[in-house]
Amino acid sequence: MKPSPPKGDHGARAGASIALALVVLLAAAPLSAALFFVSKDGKLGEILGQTLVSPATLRALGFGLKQAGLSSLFALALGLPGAWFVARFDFPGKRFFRALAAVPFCVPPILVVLAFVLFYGRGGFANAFLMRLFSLSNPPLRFLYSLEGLVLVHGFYNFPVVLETVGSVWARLPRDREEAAKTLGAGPCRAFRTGTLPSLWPSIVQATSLVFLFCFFSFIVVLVFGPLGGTTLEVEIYRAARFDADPATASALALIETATAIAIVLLLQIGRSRNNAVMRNAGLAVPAEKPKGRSLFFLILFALCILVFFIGPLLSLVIQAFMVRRGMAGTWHFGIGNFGRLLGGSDCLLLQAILDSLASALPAALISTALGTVIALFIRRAKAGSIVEAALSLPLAVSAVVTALGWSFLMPGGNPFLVSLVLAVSALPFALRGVASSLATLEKNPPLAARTMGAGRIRAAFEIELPAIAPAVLSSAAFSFSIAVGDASIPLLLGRGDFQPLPLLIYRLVASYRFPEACAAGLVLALLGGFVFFLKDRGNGRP
Amino acid sequence: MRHILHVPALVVFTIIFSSCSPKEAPELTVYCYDSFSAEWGAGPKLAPLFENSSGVKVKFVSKGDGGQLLSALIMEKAVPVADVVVGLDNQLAPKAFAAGILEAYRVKSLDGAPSWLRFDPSGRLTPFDYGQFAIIWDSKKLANPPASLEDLTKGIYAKKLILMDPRTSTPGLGFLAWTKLVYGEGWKDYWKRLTPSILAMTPNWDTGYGLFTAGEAPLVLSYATSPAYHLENDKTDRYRALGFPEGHPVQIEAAGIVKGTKHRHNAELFMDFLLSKAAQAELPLTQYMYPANSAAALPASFSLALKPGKTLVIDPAGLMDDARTAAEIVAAK
Repeated sequence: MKPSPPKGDHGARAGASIALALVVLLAAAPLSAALFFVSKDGKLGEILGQTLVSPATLRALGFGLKQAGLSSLFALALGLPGAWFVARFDFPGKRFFRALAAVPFCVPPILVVLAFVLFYGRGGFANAFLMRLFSLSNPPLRFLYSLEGLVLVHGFYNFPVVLETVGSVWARLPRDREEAAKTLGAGPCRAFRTGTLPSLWPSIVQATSLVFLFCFFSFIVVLVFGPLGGTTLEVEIYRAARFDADPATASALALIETATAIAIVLLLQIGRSRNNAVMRNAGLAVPAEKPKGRSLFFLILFALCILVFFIGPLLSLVIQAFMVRRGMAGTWHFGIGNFGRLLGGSDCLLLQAILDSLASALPAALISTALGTVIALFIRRAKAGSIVEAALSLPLAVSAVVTALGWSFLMPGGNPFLVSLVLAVSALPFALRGVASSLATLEKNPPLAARTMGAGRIRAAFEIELPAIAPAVLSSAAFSFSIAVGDASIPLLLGRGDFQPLPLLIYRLVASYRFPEACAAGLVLALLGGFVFFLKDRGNGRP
Repeated sequence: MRHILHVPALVVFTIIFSSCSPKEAPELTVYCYDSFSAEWGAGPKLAPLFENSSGVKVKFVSKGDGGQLLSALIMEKAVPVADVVVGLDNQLAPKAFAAGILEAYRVKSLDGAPSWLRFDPSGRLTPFDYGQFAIIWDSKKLANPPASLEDLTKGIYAKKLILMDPRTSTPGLGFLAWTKLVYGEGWKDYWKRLTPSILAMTPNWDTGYGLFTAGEAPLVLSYATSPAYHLENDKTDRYRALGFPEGHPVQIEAAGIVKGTKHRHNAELFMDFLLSKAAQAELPLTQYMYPANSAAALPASFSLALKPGKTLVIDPAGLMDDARTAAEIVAAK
């Protein structure tokens, strides 16, 4: 007896519809607010048209696409070699490399700006070192405040996303195809192209689209490091909403920005599903080996590059967290005073913030991972999967400023019960894609075989698919947690007045001259996000 | 792997149950911006003082920054949640008045204040503190500070100045207003000459001042009172506010009673309290601004704050459009 084909699976349809409804309800809510404001006076087309053809909008759109494109290319160039190293080799510090994936989510942009300035800036460590080394009177590194500087900062800030997303799939690809190609006489490049690349493609597309959207929505980094007076749609929305008090224009811009982002997500989705068909050939994780010879050389080179250019700035931030400024000369001293000031007092600011962060981010991570896993399993069985998956990418296409704008329209008084749910929805695309990429490398047949042998659909999922994708599920949970724990705008807009997770605490500290204390709190936030990746890798390491 | 999953579940439940303790309903809700309600801000200092003097429980609720504060009030206009708002300013005032979200009330202790400070004689917004915009100078990084707005355009200050973007920040807009007040129609030429001196134009004050204290540039746009913070908290006098003979534009922070409040009497009590000597004396070291009530005592560290000299009054008309023009001038370099 053959099991019924997955096409007509009603359960799959129902599950996907429920998830879709939830996402549309919560992710599209801010957009509906935007639509309301544009169409309030019945001039939807007019306002949208006017905004779209204004030179400022076009310039903002053009520059946004350009800098995001260059930044994602750079992040790919850094992330792909990294993914290869963590997938294929065992080396000390590998878990640390993978835990860096928490950085783009958990280090608030303002601290990233400070980190790069402390390292590459005119008075930064790198320039001070070079000036002393070559006895120069002027700082030699002056690229920071330019398009090159912007691309560099974005690239280093976001490459861990590529490394982790692609690396976790790569680690599970068997090498027989690549070996087979080599046996047939293909060079290593051709072997990679025909044997490995097709299976990696979905995760590469996924990582690229994420990084592209992050850079497209970037706000503080673009204005600080980009060309003077530069602008992006995110800046224009913010300006129209908050400084012009012009919700109609802000909403029109928000709709244009979101439409662009959706188009990008869809384009990449199409590229992805074309390649989905190619790769149904994978098995258990391939054991990693010790790097030798040429690969060892390149690994060291890569590690050095990352250490100097990325860990350097982050380390500057850590050092800043332990620096206390004392004395009339305003010189710096090492100490734990910044942490002391945050921990002291009856209300124990830092501990309360950690508890608030956990209280909102843990439920959010659990909800989004559970939903993401169930949907991914359903999509695998339903044929209309890629459309549903594209629709579920909607939260990705809604930027932080648009989300903030929308929720402040919709729920001016806030709603603490929504905090975790909205955070979960914003993390859902990450959770879903992480699990789906991993499922895509599984043979469709084993569950089918199990079901032929009499196992129910649910049992097949629990006994065969879930164990195989467990690392990806844990990885998705870690991603979701990082996203939820690093978000400042949702807790601010929807939380109670006294609800203050770490990102909010950091924003409040930097708004009150307290940068070293903000760095201290930022370190705690990054450790919290990174720690989850360590936990996940522990689960990964088990046979 | 199973035991790992138990830990978060346990934490979640602990937190959910521990956060369920009933909270008393406040008798007065005050909307403010982030740094006002922060634990180290003015809010937590004022709340017990007010409760002791009036017996009214007050709750401070942060709505983000000043701009978000105003939009929250406008959104809630039909069903107001707040009774009092603290933290609008003279630049946001026209929009607040146009939206009709405030009720007038005269605070008597401010009757003797100068007229530039009481910018709304009808009392919809009552000033509670003020500060002038000024260029802050890092005396350890630069030997010869500029002595005027014009000096800032000199070649020796190339890439030495951090400004805030007038399109996205209040101090940035304040600086633009400053150049308009001093140069009149010539402000666009001034910005052209100034461009080579600008290292970065940050989206908000936080980022710009962070870059400055990280040692990135020796000059930054901030408040004349900023050096007092460093003297008080870091015990350093390396940062100085530069007094320019042209005068300095002033930012006046104001409070008002929200239209439709159900606690009008308590709101009036709070407004009187906010301008009282006791409350005003808390502001210098929490807000790092000058208290509106000149009878309030100033701490010693304010000796380093620039003395309010010639005060320029910002004219908000057309400022938003000019902000975009200024950004385009800088971008066209």
